[in-house]
Amino acid sequence: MKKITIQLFIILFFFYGKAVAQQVFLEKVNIEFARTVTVWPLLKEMDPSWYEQVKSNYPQESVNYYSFVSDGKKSLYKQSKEAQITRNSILSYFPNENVIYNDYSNSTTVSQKVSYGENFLLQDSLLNIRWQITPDTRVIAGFECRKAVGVIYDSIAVFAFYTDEIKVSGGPEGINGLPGMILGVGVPKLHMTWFATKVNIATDTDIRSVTPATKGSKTNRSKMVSDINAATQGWTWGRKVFMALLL
Amino acid sequence: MKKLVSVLCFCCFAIAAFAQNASIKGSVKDTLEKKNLPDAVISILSSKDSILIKYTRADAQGNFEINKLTAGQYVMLITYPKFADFADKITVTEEKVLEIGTIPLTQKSLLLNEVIVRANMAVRIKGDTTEFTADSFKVKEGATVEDLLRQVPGMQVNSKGEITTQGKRVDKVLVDGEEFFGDDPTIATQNLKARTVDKVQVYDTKSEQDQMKGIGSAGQGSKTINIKLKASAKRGYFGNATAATNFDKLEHAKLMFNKFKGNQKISVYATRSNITTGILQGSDQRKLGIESDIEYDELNGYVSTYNSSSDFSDWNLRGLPDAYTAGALYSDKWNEEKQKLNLYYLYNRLGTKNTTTTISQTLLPDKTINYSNSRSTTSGLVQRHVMNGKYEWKIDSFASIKYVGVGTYSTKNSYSDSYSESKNDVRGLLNINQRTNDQEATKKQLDNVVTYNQLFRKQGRRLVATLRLGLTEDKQDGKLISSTEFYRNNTSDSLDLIDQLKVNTGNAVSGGFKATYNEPLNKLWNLVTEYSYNQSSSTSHRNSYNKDNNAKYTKLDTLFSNNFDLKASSNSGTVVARYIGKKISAAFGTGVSAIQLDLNNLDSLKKTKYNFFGITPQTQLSYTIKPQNTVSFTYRGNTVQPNLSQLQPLRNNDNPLNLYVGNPDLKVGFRHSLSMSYNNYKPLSGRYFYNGLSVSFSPNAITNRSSIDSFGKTVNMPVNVNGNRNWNAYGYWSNGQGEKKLIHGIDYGASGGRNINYLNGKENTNNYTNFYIYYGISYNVIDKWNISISPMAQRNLSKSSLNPGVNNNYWTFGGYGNVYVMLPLKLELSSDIEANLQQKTKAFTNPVRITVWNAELKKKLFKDKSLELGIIAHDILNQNKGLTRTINTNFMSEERFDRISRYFMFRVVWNVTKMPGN
Repeated sequence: MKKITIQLFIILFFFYGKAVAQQVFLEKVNIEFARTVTVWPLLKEMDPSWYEQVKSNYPQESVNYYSFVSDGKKSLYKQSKEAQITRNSILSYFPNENVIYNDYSNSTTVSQKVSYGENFLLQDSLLNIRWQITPDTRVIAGFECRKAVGVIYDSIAVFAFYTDEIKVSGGPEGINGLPGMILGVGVPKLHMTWFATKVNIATDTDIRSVTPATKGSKTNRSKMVSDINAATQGWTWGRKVFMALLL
Repeated sequence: MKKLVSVLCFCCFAIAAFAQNASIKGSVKDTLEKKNLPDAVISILSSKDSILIKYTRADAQGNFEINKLTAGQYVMLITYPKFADFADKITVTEEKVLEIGTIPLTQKSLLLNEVIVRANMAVRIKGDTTEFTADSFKVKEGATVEDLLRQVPGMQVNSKGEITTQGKRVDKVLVDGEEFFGDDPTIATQNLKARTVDKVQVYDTKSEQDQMKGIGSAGQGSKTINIKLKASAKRGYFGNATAATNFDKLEHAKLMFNKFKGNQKISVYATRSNITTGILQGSDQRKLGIESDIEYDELNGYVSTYNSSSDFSDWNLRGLPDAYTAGALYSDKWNEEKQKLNLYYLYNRLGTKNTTTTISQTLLPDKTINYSNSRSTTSGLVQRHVMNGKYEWKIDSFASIKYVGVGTYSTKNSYSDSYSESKNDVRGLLNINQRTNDQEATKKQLDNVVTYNQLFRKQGRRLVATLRLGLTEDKQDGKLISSTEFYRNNTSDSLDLIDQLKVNTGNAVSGGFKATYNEPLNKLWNLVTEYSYNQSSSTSHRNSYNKDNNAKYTKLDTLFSNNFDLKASSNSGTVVARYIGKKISAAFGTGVSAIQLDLNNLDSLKKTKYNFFGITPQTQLSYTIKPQNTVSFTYRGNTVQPNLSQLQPLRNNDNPLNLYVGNPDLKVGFRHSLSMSYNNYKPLSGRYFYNGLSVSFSPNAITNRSSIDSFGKTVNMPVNVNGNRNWNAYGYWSNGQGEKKLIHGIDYGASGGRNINYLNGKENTNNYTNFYIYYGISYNVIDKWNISISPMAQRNLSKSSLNPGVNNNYWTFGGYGNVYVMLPLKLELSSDIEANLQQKTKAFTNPVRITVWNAELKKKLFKDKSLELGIIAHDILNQNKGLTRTINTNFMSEERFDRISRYFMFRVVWNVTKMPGN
């Protein structure tokens, strides 16, 4: 018995030492994200009186799943499992089926953004986010992540948790630009969070699927933003839906 | 020039390069193991706010280099998995490489804060409800809700204030979900100001139980508009008073005042006018706040009543009005809004005076034509009191109960004096009729509905039960004096004299129960079952008395008298399966009903039983291609039962030249209705597109068999025919709404069909088709000027099998236009025009040309613009003549009546508003 304990101890020590000495940095990853919409407070902010009438028809939370596949240089983010959404529900207007292709070496993106009957094919540089780095950390899917707080388009606050153990500067939707992979995102205005539920090593088949979407009306970021701004003038509910499109 | 540009560019680059040329160099090591740390992350943060400026990873040797930094102070953050962070302040200077050396990862550093930004929220489209945020449509200051609705895509408001949207008529306008003085939408739309409105919601008028079944009525149905007031408008008061006169006989005054205190609301409304009736549409109990119910209403259709409901309708107005309206409304919510009360009282009084002349022609199967000319003078006074109460109690989060009660008391006095003569183009003079009719009627009606709503712990399970009770009491006394002289070969043949007193009384008690239960089978499927039982018992006495020897009306004329008791009952059941998926929703099922009528003829003591079996199969499918891009399809079939006056050989001689007889052999008819619609809305481009099509076929439809005798007397009898059908298509397209100044829209429609009737024993098949198209364009410069024009063209085609050679096809052109200009001295000029130019036809050799042109000039006074003075010119061209033409292939008529035409008025409007923040 004693022998076994000592052996185990040695093995553990050996592995520990190895882990410290040879930290593994991942590059080829296939990450599953769960996007959770906290429905009730979202509806309440959209229209308090309407919320009182309809809240019983809505679930408190709605979860969609997405896959993020990358070889370290480029990545593809798309829906893998959709949430149970009742038809005509307000939730179906939010962009649930974006397909985001990012090329980190050239800093470009091809994003297919689908919302509210619109289908954009955005071709531009990567989304530029002003990130503020914080000392807070938490563990997501087994990775220790650091919290950063960002502002998109000078108006949308996001908080993100990234890990430097994955050498991809990407994240869910178009969120990127941190010194590591973003495994958790929260957008308080939209009552939405994205958290990685699984991190796998990407297979070659996975990597081959990393190709940009081709369908949609071609646009660039500034045009999309100004189109959305013009159409949602004085329509704050719509702004909320389209805000999700800007991510 | 080119050189200069390149020099400038070079300078720019040079400056940029010059500004970002600082660098940092170093390496990262594990202090304990003395090993390099490749892939360690080195982040450069702004020292002021921790914003990430640049980052890199260390190479295989643990070395790193960061270039192109602007000179200044930074925080360098170095991280490595499972290591403590290293953070330190560094200062870099221009054109220098800061050698940091080897960094051991051991330190911890600064705490930083997060920022959260908040925003305010509002709404637009939700489920089957289309919602428009009022502030996103630009209207001029002082604009009413009606002005706002004109801006809303897909909505048309005609000159009378009637609203149509998505090809359907709006029959209900609610304010904050509650009835606002009952049935007249214009009370809300013409009196509430656009800027007090938060949102305008449009949805199908459906009862709660119909919503559960997920199937509306195919092709028909109407829309409800709900006007949601701004929260700020509901704290304080607002109102307006209008007085206008032409300093002679015409006057028009209006008062509306709304006061809010917490959840309490009080509104008062009053009008006095002799230019309008004060009420737009005809009114029945349903519109006064009682939801319709197919089975209950169907059974009530067997109860005969004497007073029509359209007495107050401005739309049907013939003649010159003299009207008063007064009403008050109180609503309150208490106990955390769990209990709600809405009460109102409304009084209408309308006197009218009118002279109508009618010319008509009927093409007979023997190719001769009957011509008829008539002239009648009428005067009348109708009055109505309405009391409405609605109480809702949310007992707990699962159960609620609602009571709605409507009581009306109406009276009507009318006198008419008419003269008519008929001729045949071959046989000459047929008849001359002269008659007076003096009537006095009262009607009392009380309707009550209690609705109980129960939800259960299982999501989606729901029970709705309603109880209905209706009481009606009718009384009508009338004196009919008529003399008809019939001619043969232009010489008098016979004389028919009527001098009768008619006493009609009736009363009815109706009750109904309905329960609808929804059981969710799984996440996608629901099963809705419904059962209802309705019953009514009524008595009807129609008696005609002739004069006796003492010149008193005591002698009963049994031919034109009829007394009966009727007991009617129906049992109905419906089963509907509903599927609600993400893209597809569907509902299909069927209803069956058994109706029993027990008719007891009090004159002959003969008892008759009728049993009808009804079936209503229904299907609805809708596919959401994308949100805001939906195709839907509805089918509904229903049996059409003949009504009592069609079945009973009741005789009525109110118009001795046009008699109706019943047909006890009538069979139950059936109607298949199909409808489809496509809806597409693109908010970013502001494009809205709607297309709808509905078709209906009616085997065994009940239609008219008329026989016109050689004296020009018509006898009508209902009969069953096969082959009746009709169709209707409607579309709307608009582009550029909201902020955009220029808006286009196209509004088009077509309808057609076939109906079959009999004339003098010959079958007559009428085929008809109509098309119309409106093109609307408007341009709007807020508070300066705006213009909107929508020209229209319409084509009417018809063909009759009896007279296939006759061409009665015609074009109609016209449309609307309006313009608004802000003149110097803040004078506001607005003008609108509505034209109706109808081509002449073979029957009417003169075309219709009516162009109504109105203008108004006004000025708002005081700082808050609360007082407005204005001059109104109505019908400047003096063409607003009352004229309606009816053109069927074998029957054409033209009716001319009195109508308010040209006048000029001086008007004062005073607006009061007190809202927080104003």
